Amino acid sequence: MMIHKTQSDSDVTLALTGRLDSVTQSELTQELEKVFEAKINLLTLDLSALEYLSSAGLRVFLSARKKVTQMGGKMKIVGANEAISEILQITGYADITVMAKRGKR
Amino acid sequence: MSGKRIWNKAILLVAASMMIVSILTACRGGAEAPVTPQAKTMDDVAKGRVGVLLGTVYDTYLQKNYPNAQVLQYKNYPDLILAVQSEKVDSGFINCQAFKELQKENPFLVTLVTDVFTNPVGVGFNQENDALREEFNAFLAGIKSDGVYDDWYQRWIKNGNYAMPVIENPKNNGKLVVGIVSDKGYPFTVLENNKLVGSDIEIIERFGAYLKKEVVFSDMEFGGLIAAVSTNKVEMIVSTIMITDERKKQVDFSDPYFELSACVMGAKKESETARKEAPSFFQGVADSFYNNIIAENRYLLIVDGIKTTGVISVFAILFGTLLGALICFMRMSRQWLAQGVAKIYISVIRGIPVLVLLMLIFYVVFARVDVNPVVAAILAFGVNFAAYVSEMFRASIESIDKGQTEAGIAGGFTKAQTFIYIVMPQAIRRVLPVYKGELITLVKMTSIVGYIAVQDLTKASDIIRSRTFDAFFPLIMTAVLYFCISWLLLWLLDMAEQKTALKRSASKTNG
Amino acid sequence: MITVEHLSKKFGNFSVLKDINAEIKKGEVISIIGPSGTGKSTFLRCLNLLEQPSGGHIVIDGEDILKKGVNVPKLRQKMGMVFQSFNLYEHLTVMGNVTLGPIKLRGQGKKEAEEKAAELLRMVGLSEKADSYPDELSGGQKQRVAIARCLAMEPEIILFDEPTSALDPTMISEVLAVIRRLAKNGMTMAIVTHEMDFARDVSTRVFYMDEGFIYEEGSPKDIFESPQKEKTRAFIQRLRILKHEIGSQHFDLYKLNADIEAFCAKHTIDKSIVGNILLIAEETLVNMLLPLKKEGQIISLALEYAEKRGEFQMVLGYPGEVYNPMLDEGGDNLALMIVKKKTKNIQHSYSNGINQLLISM
Repeated sequence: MMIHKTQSDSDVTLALTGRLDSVTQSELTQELEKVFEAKINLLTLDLSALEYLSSAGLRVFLSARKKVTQMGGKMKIVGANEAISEILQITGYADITVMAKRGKR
Repeated sequence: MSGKRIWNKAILLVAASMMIVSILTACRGGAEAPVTPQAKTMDDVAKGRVGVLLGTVYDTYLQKNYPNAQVLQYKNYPDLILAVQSEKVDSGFINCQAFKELQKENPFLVTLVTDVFTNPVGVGFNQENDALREEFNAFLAGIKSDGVYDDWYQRWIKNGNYAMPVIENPKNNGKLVVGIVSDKGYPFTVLENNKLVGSDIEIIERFGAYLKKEVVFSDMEFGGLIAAVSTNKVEMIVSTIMITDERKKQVDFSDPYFELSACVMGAKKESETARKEAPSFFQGVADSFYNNIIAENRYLLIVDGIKTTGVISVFAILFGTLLGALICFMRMSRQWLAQGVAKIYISVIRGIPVLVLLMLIFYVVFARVDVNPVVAAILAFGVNFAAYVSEMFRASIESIDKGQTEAGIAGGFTKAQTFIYIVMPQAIRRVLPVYKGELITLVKMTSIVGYIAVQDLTKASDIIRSRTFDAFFPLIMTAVLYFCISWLLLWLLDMAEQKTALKRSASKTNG
Repeated sequence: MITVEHLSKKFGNFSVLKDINAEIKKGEVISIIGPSGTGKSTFLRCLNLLEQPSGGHIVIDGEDILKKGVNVPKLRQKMGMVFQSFNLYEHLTVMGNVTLGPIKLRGQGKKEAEEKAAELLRMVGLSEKADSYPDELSGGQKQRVAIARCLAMEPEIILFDEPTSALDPTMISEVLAVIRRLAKNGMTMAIVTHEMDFARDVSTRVFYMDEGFIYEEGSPKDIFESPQKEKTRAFIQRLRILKHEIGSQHFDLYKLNADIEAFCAKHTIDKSIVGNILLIAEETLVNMLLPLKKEGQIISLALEYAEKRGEFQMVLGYPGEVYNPMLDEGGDNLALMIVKKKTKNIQHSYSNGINQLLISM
């Protein structure tokens, strides 16, 4: 998996590419730990280039959201493809995050 | 196509070819020969290209005395003269007596060197046949003492009077088979009005009368004479043969019956030749046609030649096809012995030139058997044809989809029935195109039978050329006739094919 | 009518048929099915001795045809054969193909044979092609001519060797229709075929051949609906199976993924389905079963693809106590929710200390 980070002030965007599964979830966890060293206002996860997502990834998303909310910020997920949206919906994620449809790469 | 239309087409074809022949014949006078200095001594002659007859003493003489001379060998006088005339050679080295005759017919020939050497001429016998040789020597001594020989020498050699005298012969003592060369030329042996005449012929006839035997002439190539007498195909050979040490190893010679001297001839340079007014085109055609076909009933020779070539071709094809089928059957058999024999047969026969095969069959296989040379030729060509067509048959049989054989077997046919009803009809259709090609090759190949004294179409044309010294017309006419024979055979094959074959085209167009 | 006992056939050292025992009665239609290369065609070709058997007996109407002195060509006249590649006689018209046997072998007159052939050609629907040559016909037409050619010999049995395998899909039905008609008229037939629906409809009995034996035989209903043996079931449902075992604690998820992806690529499975399979494998193994796995235990995963129905089944086997993770509501339930959403049906069973989870997708 590849993570591409862009930051302006306290708004952080992480663009994820490839697979997010029980093997690669630790990479995202480490990246987020670095991000949370400063105060975050808005965390955006761009999934438009993500091909695969399993429950291990979902757990990382859940804990990240918890952290951002504690800091008084917000988290949103954008660009998920159909299969990934379906998994997000299974877990009720669609209700608690802002879904922004983005065109495919 | 109806038969009548075929014939019309054939006639048209022949007519058109004759036209081409005539045009070529009429035009050939036009080519001008470049002027080169003419040789006057034997040393000069040897510096240029010299034409000789194959297997003659002139050939040996040049090789011995002028090893560096460029010698070209020709089969007969017409070829040699043609070579001199067309400057394929600078000079021709032949005997003076024959040259005198040739000069009458070919005024462009000039003498360059005379009496280079002389050589005795004798009659050849098998080395085990001393009795006949002794009889001949006695006969020769007889005519020399009673004046018959002098008369003979005066008429033929000195005066050039070519009338054959009447020779009484009761012919009540069997036959005498004599090997001769019918296109040897005047004054020795020629075919005049379809009868053999010449000095050699008179000697033979007189000897026949002396023995009271009927003379049977066996006409062959000069190069084949010695082989023929040493394998007893003929009892004696008479063709103005010079007595040489080399030949003495193979045959025994009689006492010499005259001496032959050697001359060198050349072609007159254009400037020296008073060119005759070229005859008109149609006159040229008419002359050629008359000389080569009508005069002395020469068409009879051609008709006989066609018959012989046809008979050899047809029977060799029939025999070869049957033998080829047998070889093919053996080659495809599962028995290793039959398969091995067939494989060896095919590779051996295909590896031997057909001329060698022909001579082997005639002179070696049938050495002790009196066999008609036409039969030997049919065998030789048939054996050769079989080796080629058997492989064609095999390829075409193997090209038929095995599934059909299987369907036939599964349908209750025996193996033989499956082959006859299902495989063979298809194999024949596939093999026909290549088979036709091989058939034409065979027809053309028969032109070499002259080597075993068979007078076929090629030999007939050689004889005519030896008399008329017109190379072009007879050659091209022969070419056309060979073409016609092949074409006729293919047409017959097509007819047979249509009789037996399918109405396929009909159903194709209707469906 | 035909009894086959201990029939065997070897090609060199390779045994194609090992021990065939079978009986074909008059009026039966036998379908012979099974994977390629298991000797179906060889068996058929042994029956009319196109292949010489290496051992055993073939008894036809009480006579052992493998004995010496049997008139084999005569025998074959009573056993028609239809080939995969038609094998029509290329030099004869359709009429010629049909009448050659009757005229040459049964001594019929040309007129009589042609009248009968015309009737047979009408039966197979090719009356107007009587004067055509085989190369002017389509594959389906050729095969119908081949059938008419067999019938002209009035055989007691017809052997069909994959009669539709060389045909375009559009032409298969016209040939099968003719065979169905023959079956209805009571013709005894043995048919080697890959057309399962046809075999099920038309046969009175089905032989499933595998490994050189008749592995299972029975009525079409028995064989197609409740095959008794594992191989038969796998063949009938056209199962394609991927097996994977997880022994060590260090499970290589990516190796499993790669295997599944290669397996799916081989059977040209849609990408979204492949994604689901990967997801279910990960969630069940990584989140549910691996955390409980003890040292030395082996978890097995089998992925079965029923080609015929286009369905996947995943079978997970794991040792230990009786445990069905689908009933375990502990933890965050994320994995459980995903698996439930993505599957049709999950069954748990337990026997001999092994849990089995059957996941249908």
